[in-house]
Amino acid sequence: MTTNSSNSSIADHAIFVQAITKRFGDFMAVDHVNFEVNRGEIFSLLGPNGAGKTTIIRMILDILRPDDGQIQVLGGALTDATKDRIGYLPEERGLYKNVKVLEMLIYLGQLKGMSTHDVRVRALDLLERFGLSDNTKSKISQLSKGMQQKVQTIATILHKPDLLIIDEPFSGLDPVNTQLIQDLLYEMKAEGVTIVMSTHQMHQVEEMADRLLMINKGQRVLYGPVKEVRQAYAQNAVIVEGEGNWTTVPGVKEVLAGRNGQEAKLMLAPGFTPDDVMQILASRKDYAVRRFELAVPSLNEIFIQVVGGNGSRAEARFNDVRAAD
Amino acid sequence: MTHWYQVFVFEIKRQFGRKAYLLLTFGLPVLALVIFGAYRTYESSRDDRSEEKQELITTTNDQQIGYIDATAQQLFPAPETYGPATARDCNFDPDAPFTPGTIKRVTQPKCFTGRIHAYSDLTVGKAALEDKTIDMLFVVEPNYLATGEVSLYTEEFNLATSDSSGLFTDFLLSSMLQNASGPTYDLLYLRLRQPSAVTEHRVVETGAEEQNEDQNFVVAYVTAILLGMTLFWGGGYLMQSVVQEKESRIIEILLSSVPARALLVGKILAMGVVSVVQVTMLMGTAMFIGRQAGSIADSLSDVEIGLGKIILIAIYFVLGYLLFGGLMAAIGAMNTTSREAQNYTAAITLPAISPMFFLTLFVEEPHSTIPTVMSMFPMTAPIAMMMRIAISDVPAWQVLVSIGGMVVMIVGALWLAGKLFGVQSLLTLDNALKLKDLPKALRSKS
Repeated sequence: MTTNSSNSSIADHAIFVQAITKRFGDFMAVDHVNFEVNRGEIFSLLGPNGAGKTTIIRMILDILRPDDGQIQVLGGALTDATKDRIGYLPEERGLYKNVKVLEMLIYLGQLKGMSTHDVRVRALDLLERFGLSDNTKSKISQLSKGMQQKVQTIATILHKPDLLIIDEPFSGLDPVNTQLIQDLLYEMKAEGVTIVMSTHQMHQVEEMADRLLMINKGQRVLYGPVKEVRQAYAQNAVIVEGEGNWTTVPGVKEVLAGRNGQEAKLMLAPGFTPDDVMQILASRKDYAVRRFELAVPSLNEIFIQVVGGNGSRAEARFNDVRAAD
Repeated sequence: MTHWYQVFVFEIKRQFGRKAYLLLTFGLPVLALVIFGAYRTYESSRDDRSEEKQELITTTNDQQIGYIDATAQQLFPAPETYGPATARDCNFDPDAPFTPGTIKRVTQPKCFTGRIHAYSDLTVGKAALEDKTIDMLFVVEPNYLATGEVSLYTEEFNLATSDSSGLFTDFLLSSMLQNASGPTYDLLYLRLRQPSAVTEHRVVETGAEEQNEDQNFVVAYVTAILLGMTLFWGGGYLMQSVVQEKESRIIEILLSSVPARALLVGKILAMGVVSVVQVTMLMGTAMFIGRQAGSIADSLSDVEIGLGKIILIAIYFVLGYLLFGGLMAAIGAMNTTSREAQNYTAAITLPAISPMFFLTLFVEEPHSTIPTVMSMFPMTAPIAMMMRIAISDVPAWQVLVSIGGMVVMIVGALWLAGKLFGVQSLLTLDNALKLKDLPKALRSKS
């Protein structure tokens, strides 16, 4: 198990998952998965469709019970009181069509242990912030899909949860509302809320998440800080943009055309590091460099590479790199 | 188990906010009462005579009646031969004190003057009928005293014909009683117009007496209908409510806050209340109108069901609803749409109402084999035992066996519904659970 659990107590983690397994008949949905989510971080759960992400989330929320393994949430086993501290926005989500917006929110807030008065005040406040204050008496069926999505998000954070678990939070939202939700999540993080986010939108993960867990076929294939994961997949190469004959640079064994037609990807020869190449370029007058960066792959590329290839080997490689660091 | 109360309150509010429910539960009774009230107002304005007088002389129309007295004794002289019919003699003031002889005074034969006309023979009578002087012609046959035979000649039969026949019968009665004293006349006139009100008392093997079968039938029928309607409506609402959690995709949000069983308990109790309110409103309105119209007052006026039986019936009512509600909820949890779920409901409702197919047997032989077995088998017990309890005394051991069996099955039904409503609701969001996969689904850990 490549976790830090041995060095820190369970109470330090918002979620502590140890060797959980879940079968549905002959199908192994989750296979001995370990991970922890630190308090106050944005943690991303990644994986292709059917990888087992939703099953893991449902086990965390005690909707499903694991066949084996242990789960601790907010410092202990999940109780009704703990559930009241969690906000959950599932991927398969909806609301009662013929119920008015405010009534719906009051009901869901009450189910989280809030008093009618408190939930009403909080709901009206959030509805105003989300631009829905004119729709408090509208029925859910009268709202657009995007507006319904916003009401669902409000319902998730209504009770000021300590742990937020959201599945595809940006699906169906336009850029303005995506930004609204994104700002809200940053704000909640700043207030100390732990956020677990499952999404297919890799750029959101790159931008927002502190750490990630990638699942494929029920098994953990990548786990760790987002930056480290990307670094681990970085090739011995640099991306440059500017003028000069890149093929004659000492230490460059191959030059590949970049994605935008202006940049070039310089594959380095063994024994040469990006620092060596940068020093060479800086000392030569016949090269003008406007941009120089490590050739770190995007999470999207890593995702395709890992899911398309051998997941176990991918994690072994990542762990080797971390160990070498 | 927390939060069931919030679910209960919300589900009741949600159901009461539905137009279809409000229309059926409150709109329909109000409409029926308005129509009934309007009909009664119309009826009373059409006839300005007092109800009391109408009860003494049966008529609501102004048809002219002819008759021929063919008896050898000439038992029925013409009304006018009794003297002039003055308003003082024949009018009935409902506000005046009702003294002995009042009935004789207002119903004496001369008071029929102007409505009933005597004819000497059939030829003359028929001529009067043909020229529309009279609307109908009665012939009191020669053998009347021995047989009571009266012939009626008329051009067409309608409701008024029947009404006028009643008036002629009143005339015959008052003519035959005219020599009786005032108080005797009053008693005999009223009694002979309704000579018997039969109450049957069945002597069973134990020597105990049982109630009138007509009353038993009504009581058993009303009891069975009450539970049957509650089951259909309450169970239907519950099933719909469970399916809707999946159709609306809110189920996972709810399950992250509320355990499946708490959700289910809240829903079962709410739908029970909702359907009891609905059944009470509809049945109450029907009973009220029926009683006002006089159609069921006689049947139920002297029905006596002891407190013990009422408590037992209430217990079966609750147990029956929990059993069938639990099963309906399980069906809802297995299916993805209300339409799919409807296909399975017959498997529950058919056994539930099957005792009603044997209603006559339950009324006539409540302790025979079929009623006894049905009242102890959990699926048929609620309606079967309620009917038996309502109309007879059921041995205590049979009640205990029946309740025990039902409690066991209720626990099983609620466990099944809870199991399916939790995990399976999520796993079958898009595809209904097939019956062959049910055992595997129940074995899964949740």
